[in-house]
Amino acid sequence: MIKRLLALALVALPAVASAQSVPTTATVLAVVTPTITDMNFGDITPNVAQTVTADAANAAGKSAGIIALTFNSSTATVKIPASVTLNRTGGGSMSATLSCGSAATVGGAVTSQTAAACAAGVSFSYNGDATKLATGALYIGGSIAATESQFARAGIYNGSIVATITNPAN
Amino acid sequence: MLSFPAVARGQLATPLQGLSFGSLIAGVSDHVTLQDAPRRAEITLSPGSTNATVGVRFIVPSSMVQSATGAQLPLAFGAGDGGIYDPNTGKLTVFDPQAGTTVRLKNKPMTIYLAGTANPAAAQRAGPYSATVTLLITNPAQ
Repeated sequence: MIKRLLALALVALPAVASAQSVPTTATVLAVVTPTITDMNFGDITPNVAQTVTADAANAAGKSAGIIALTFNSSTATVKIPASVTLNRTGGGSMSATLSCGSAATVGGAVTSQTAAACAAGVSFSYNGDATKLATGALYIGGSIAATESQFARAGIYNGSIVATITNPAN
Repeated sequence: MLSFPAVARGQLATPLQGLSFGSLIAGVSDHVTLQDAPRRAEITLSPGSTNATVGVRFIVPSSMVQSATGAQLPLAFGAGDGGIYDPNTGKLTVFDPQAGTTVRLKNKPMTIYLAGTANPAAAQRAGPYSATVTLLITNPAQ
C-alpha cells in the first residue's frame, strides 16, 4: 500500500501596502510667572545704619523682598538694580543699596550672591521634573547708611524697583 | 496556477503638509480640526488605477517628543479626526484615522486629512516637539 503524503504549502502573501510618514509638530511657549513679596526695612532710627539681609533670617519687623518664579524653560534669570530711592510723601528721601540671594524655592536654603551677580542677573535652572514647573526665588536685601537717615523727617518712605526677568524659548 | 486578485498599482501618497499645532500654552489643550486648512495634515492620494479600492489607515503616536530633553507631549486622535476629500464629488468623508476606511480611487487625486489634539501638561517643558504619523495604504480586496 502506497501512502502518499500531500504536502500543503501555505503561502503567506503580504498585504500590498505602502507607508507614508507625515510630520507632527508643536512648540510650547516659554512662560515665567513671578510672585512678589515686598521688602521691609522696618523702623529706622536716624543716624543709625539699617540692613535687611537677603534671606529669611531678618528680625521681626524687617523682611527681605522675594521674587518667586515658576517657569517651564531651561532657565529663568532675574536682574535687579544696585540701589533704590525711598521717598517720603511730603518730601524727603533715602537711598538704599540692594543685595540679593537665591534659593530653589521660597523657604529653601539661600545662597548669597555678589552685587555684580545681582546686577548681571541670577539664573535659575529647570529642575528636571516634568510633572512640576521649575521654581526659583530671589531674595532682595538692602542697606541704608546712617548718613542717609541722619536728618530724615519722620514718616513712611516707599520706593520701587524694576526687576528684569528673562527666560529662553526652551 | 495561482492567481492573485487585482491590486491597485501605482497609487501614490504624497504629503502636502504635516499636522502642525503651532504654538501651544502649557496646560491648554489644542484641537486641530479637519476644517483647519493651515494646520491639518494633508496627503494627496493619486490614483494609479481608476476604480481600484484601497484601504487607508493612520498609525498615530501617543505623544510628541522634545528631542533635546526627551520630554513628551501627549496627543489624542478621535474617531472623527480622519477625512478624505473627493474633488470628484466635492465631499469630505470623515473616518476614524486609527480604524481606517476604504477609498475607491477616481481619476482626480483625493486628499486625506488628519486632525488631532495636543494636550500639553501644566508643567509642559517649553520648546519644540515633534512626532511622526504613518499613513498606511493597503488593498483590502486581497
